[in-house]
Amino acid sequence: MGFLDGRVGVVTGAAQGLGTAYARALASEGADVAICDIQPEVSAVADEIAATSGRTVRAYPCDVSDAEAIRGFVDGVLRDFGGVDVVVMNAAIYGSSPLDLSREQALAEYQRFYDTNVKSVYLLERAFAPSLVEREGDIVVISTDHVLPPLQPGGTRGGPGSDLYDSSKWVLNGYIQAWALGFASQGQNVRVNGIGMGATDTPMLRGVFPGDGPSDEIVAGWMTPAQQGQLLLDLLQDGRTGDLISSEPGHPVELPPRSDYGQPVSNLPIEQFHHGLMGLEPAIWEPPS
Amino acid sequence: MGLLDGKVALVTGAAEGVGVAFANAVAAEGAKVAICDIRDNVDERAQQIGDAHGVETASFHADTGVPEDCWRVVDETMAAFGRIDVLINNAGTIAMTSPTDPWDKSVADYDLVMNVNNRAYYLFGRAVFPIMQEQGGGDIVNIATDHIYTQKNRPSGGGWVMDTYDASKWGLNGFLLSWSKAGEPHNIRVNGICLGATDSHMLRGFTGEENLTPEVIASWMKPADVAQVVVDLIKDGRSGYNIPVWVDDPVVLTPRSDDFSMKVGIMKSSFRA
Repeated sequence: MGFLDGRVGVVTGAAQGLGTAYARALASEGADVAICDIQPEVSAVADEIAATSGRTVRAYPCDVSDAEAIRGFVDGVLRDFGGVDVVVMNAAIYGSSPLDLSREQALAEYQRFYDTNVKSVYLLERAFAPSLVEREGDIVVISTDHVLPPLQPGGTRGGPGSDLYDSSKWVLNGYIQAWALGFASQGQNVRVNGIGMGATDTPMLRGVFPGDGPSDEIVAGWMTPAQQGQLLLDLLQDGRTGDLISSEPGHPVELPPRSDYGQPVSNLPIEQFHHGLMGLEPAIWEPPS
Repeated sequence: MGLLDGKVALVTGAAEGVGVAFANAVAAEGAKVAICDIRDNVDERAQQIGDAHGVETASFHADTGVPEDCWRVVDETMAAFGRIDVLINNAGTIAMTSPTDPWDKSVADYDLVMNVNNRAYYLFGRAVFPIMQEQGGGDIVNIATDHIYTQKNRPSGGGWVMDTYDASKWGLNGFLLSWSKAGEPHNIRVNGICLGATDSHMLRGFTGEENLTPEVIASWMKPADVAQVVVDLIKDGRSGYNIPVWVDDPVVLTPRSDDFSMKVGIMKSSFRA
């Protein structure tokens, strides 16, 4: 059987694209899976994965930009499954945010991007943390290659018209780091990683191309959701924490070697990175050689 | 002659702490200075800054966690001085937040920290952008934290107790990179300061009276030194950089670099170029 037999996985934004692929991957390794989405199609996706994997897969309608909806979703999952082992925070919106928006539009767009891409991740962590600590689970935050180092020396990522999408994903670096180091500093074996995702053939990305959609040539350069599902499984089996995994076209879609930062921090002495209340003597964290 | 003669600078959160030093530093270079703060002594502080440097000042009582307050400060600065050449996004807050905090506390903490440390920077930046565009240029400086600069083995300096503070500051990288690209054709420069421990209102309060020994205070950077780095940064003319300024290193403007990881504090990652 699979390495997730008897485990419970959670995937947000699983009615299509990457979310569906992640849910399918977890179920294929024996996990029961709870999936949510704002789109009602999530129920049919759950039925399909349950039928093909033989696992219990439940769908929950949920708008992750709504804190109360997240609370309801998490309570439902904990009631129905008893606890969780893997939480994949995948639900997100993508789009441009032109600088010439009116002030009121700019504020509304801020709330839309941040409530969906940031606050949901934060609140899901808070709500699932007790169960993840108890069961020594995993958090995987799906991010973007916009927050990875640039491909060309001297270059940068992101664009002049995407301050909200890009910054909403930069925020996640802070949470990934703080949680990975934080859980470890408390002796709690919860691993937290991010995936800096590049172009993958999903409805979200296809939606960026108006009219007839992207050409076959363009699509051929993209990664596939199934590849990303396998990458998730490889990450879960690897056991690292505090890493931001790059997954980009032009590279094999496989788990890269651990960076110096990606060492399991739980193997390091707590005092090396626990600063306490402002640490009057700041702890200096040395990467293991 | 000062670097900022005839120019106008807006500094948020400038009734106490490093904000005062930033306001004094730009005033010393000849700028008219507008400051805002949630504290009641903001008018008195503006008066002191004006008297010390012989420049015109304006002051606004404002809570930058409230969008209408941010917009009002920009509008009233324009009404007072007719232009904004320098924006120093400085007003910040801090809360003790931990990954295992209870739900209700967490829901409240998010807005408390994000609205001031992240959303206000966004709203101020976007409000002054068209003004600077119209004027033909300007400088935006976002004050962040050394917690987000990973080159010096300082990953997530807040650790267990301030995840949302750190995250709010990480998010500023998105504004920095996007705005510096958008600003390039308009001579608008956008940079950040990854600020380490500085003798300030916030840090004194956070450290606690009982721990404020002369040795501890002496180990911190001086606000005036940090503010000089901001003036040097504006003089330098670069854009798209996070500048590391922290204890144990000389408090000076770091050289320009094409190395992205030296420009913007990146998260160390399993990355294949």
